[in-house]
Parts: sequence; structure tokens; C-alpha cells
Amino acid sequence: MRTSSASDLRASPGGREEPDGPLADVSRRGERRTGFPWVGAPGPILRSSGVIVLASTLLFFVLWQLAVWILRSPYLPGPVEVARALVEALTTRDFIGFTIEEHILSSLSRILYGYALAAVVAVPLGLAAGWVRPLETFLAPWVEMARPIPPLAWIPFAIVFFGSPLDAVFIVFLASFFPIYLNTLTGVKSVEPLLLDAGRTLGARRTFLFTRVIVPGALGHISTGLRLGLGYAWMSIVAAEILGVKGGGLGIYLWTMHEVGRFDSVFAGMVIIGVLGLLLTRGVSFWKIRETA
Amino acid sequence: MASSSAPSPGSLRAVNLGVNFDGLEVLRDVSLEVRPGEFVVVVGPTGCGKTTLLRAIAGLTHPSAGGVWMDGHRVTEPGPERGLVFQEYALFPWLTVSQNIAFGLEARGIQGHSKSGQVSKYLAMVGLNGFEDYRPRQLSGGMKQRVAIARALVNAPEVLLMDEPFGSLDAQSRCDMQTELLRVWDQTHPTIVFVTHSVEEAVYLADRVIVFSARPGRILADLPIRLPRLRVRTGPEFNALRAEVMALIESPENGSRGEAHASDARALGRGRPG
Repeated sequence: MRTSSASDLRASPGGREEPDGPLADVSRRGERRTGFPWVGAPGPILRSSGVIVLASTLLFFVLWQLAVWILRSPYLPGPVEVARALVEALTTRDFIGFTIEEHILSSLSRILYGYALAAVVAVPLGLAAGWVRPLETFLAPWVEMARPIPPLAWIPFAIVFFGSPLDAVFIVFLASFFPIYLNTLTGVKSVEPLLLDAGRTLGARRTFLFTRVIVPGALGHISTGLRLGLGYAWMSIVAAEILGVKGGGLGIYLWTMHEVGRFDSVFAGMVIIGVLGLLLTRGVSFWKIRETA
Repeated sequence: MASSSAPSPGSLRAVNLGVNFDGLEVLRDVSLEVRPGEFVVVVGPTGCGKTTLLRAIAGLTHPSAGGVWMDGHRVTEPGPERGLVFQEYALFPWLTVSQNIAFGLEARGIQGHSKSGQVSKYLAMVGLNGFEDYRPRQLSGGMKQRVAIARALVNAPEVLLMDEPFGSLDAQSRCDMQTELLRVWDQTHPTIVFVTHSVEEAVYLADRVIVFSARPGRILADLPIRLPRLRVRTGPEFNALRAEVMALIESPENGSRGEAHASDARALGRGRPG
């Protein structure tokens, strides 16, 4: 996004950028011809990219069906069986008595609490650590010790220490905390020193610089962190549910179906998890702040 | 000693100023006096420490020796009375043109009517009426620099420091901006210290041209330009002055310019084009 708008300006005929500024920028927005159709934003490729996506999707299903025919495994259902199981999952109660909505809501509520808690702690902490260097240095050993431990490794401890449902909230918290914290920290540190200099020469004091330059300057990274954190949260919750937490949940649905050998339903569950994960991360990315040149 | 001079707003005095970065001597023994309302242009080879001089006056860089006084007070930190215009514009990309210009007022706690009045006054002064709600990325280089100038002027600075402000503009907009700047200076009359490596720009704008040596930057010459404004760039006096300044820059005293550049950019912690 950044590079395309910059090259847009530079590519103006004759290299002049002064008198034709904003208006030309607007009028040029439509074309964006770089001379290289495979480079950059919407060109001729976009018009045909729908076709490519369609072809690629079809090929995926063909390959899947071929794999089913060749492998002939009882554990690998074909697209048609999975579609049927998906309809079944969406329309009927499973044999342990839950509807799919109930599973989804259980998973989502665990994620909501763990993720919200992580965001509420990690964003301010990341901002503070980025702004006050000694705090960053102080926290660094903790972060470096805790981060390489996969959140799922905490499950045995979480199950006995917190119990359901706090165990899952704790796991989600751990999974989403680090990407949010570290991206926020990076965001603060990547604010252009020149902008801070500019702020100071304009009379801004420390607090004003923080709220008016550092925080807005870091927003792009913060939203990236929040998006990544949600992705990690989603991945950890399914695994955590499979490994032990109690109650409903998509991971539990998956595991139950596995235990009774309904692999078409397992795959249907995977589809639901994938679609929801996509929707969740897309939902956060609407928040993505437009980077600027 | 410096504080004994009669303080009139906008006077600057650098006394035996020296700046080192990690053992690299960037400025050596620079002494300079600027009268209130004077337009001083510093020229010199790329990497000669001109930017460092401005940053020291702005209070962003701490001198290793000597110091800078403004109106008899020693400069220890940045302040709104010394505005700085950067070559890279340094506009806040998330703010609109108006919000960028209002930044300094808000930083000083000025709100409401007096804020919006000031913003539109300086917006008009730099000719940006109608662009209030544009973001910096939608503007051309010349317009960005107009915003940066308005943003600095809104604080009514007694001193305006300009660091190669037109360095990345094409030749035509550069000439236009120079003339515009003189017009704005005529209306507000701050003291201006303007850094450039363009000799023509220096002779066109300045009351006084200060010629800097290659690093470590020292003052080689201090040359008054007494031509009436607006100056004709093709006139014989103009060309004679230009040749004189050029000769000073290229004098044998002023060697090893090429290698000075890269290491100075590193020392400043940021590369700059050109």
C-alpha cells in the first residue's frame, strides 16, 4: 500500500510532483499502469484474478477427491461426505446433546475473555515498555523466558490450577498476549524519531508526545498485534479444548467425533473452525489503520 | 557574557560550538551571531554538519563544546519559539493538514476559537485554502513543505530553522517555494537560519551567506548579500556572488567531500538522500 502510493507519485510524467498534487493523485487512482502487469495494484490481472481463484478452488476439490479415491482411507472423507456432515452439524444436535451454535458460543466466549484480558494488559504494557526503556529491559527476561513455551504446554498446569472454565481463558490469554505485547512494543519503537523531533520543536511535552505522536504512530502495529493475537487465540482454544477443558466447544466437538470414528464430521468441524477463524481475523482487520507515506 | 547582550527577540548566538558523535567531530568551534529578523543561509558541502548546527540551535542535539544562546538564554531543549522545518517534512501522517498545523497550538494548550483562527490564518498564508482535510500522503512535496512551514509558523516562532526544506523538490517548485518563503517572511519576519547545499538558493534568499567547510564543519566565510529582493537569478551581480560563494566552497581548504557524506549520515543516525 505504502509502496504503490509512493511509486504513483514518482511515476508522474516528467517527474514533477509539485503543481499537480492532490487532484492528479485522485485522477490517477484509476489507472496505476506500471508497465508490468504482474507488479503492483489492480491492473489487467485483477480482471482475470477471479478466474484464477475459481480455477484454483476447483483444482483443490479435484485433488481432494483424487486423494480420497487413491488412498481409500476410512479416515479421509471426500468433499461430498464432508458437505453432508456439515449440513448435519449445522441442523441437528450431536449425540452428546449440543447444537453447533452452543459449541461455537462456548469457544467464542472463552476466546473473548482470554483475548480481551490479553489486549487490556498487553497494549498498555507494550506502550509503556516502548516509551520507558528501563521497563522494556526489565520485562525482557520475563518475556524471553515465557515466550518460547507453547501456550499448550501450560494446559496440564492450567487444568489443575484454574479448572474449567478459567483454564481455557488462561491458555487463550497466554497465546494472544505475546503477539500483542511485542507488536505494540515494536510499534512504539518504530515511530519515526523525526516525528518526535518535530513534536518537540513544536512545543510538545512528554505526555503530549506520548498521546499524540507515539500512540497514533504505533496504531498500525498495535492492530497487527491484535489481529495476530486473535489468530493465536483461536488456534490455542481448539487445541486446549481437545486436550482437556470441560463443557462444550468446537475442539470438544472435533474430539468427540474423532472418538466415535465420524471423520466426515471431524472434517466438517474443521471447516467450521476455519471459516470462523477467517471471519474473526477479518473482523479485526477492518480496524487496520491505513499506513501513510 | 552572552547574557549581557541586550536581548531583542529572535537574536541567536553560537559560541565556540562543537559537536561530536561517537568520537566523530561534526562541528568545530563554530561562532555565529544572527540579528533578530535576519535571513541567514548556511551553505556547504553535503555532510559538513549544517544539519547538526540547526539541530543544536533547535535544542535537539547537545553540543560537546560551547553552546547556543537565544535572546541571552542558553538553549538546552527544544521550544516552540524556535521552529524547525525538516527536509523530510516530518508531517504527522495520521493528521489532516489542519490538524498538523494545529499541533503546536494544542501542545501549548490553545483551543477553541483562537486555535481555529490561527490555523486558517497560516493555512491561507501558505496558500493551502481548500486542502484543510487532506492527509499528507495526498499532497505533493511542495504542498507538504507548505504545511510544515505553516505548522512551524503557527507558534509565532522568533526563530525559524529550515533544514534543506526544498531539497527534494523539482527545480520549478523549488523556485516557487523560495519566492513564497520570502513573501511569508515579509509578513511574519522571524529570524531565519536556512541550510542548503544550493549556492543559487543561498544567494537568492539570504541577507547573509555563511559558507561552511567540509567536516568538521567550520565557518569559512560570512558574506552579506546586499542585492534588493526579489532578486533576478540571471543578473550579473547575482552571478558574481554565486561564483564567489562557489569558489569558497571549492577552495583547497575544503577537501575530502565525497567520503564525508556517508559517515556523517551514519553519525546522525539517519541516511538522507542526495
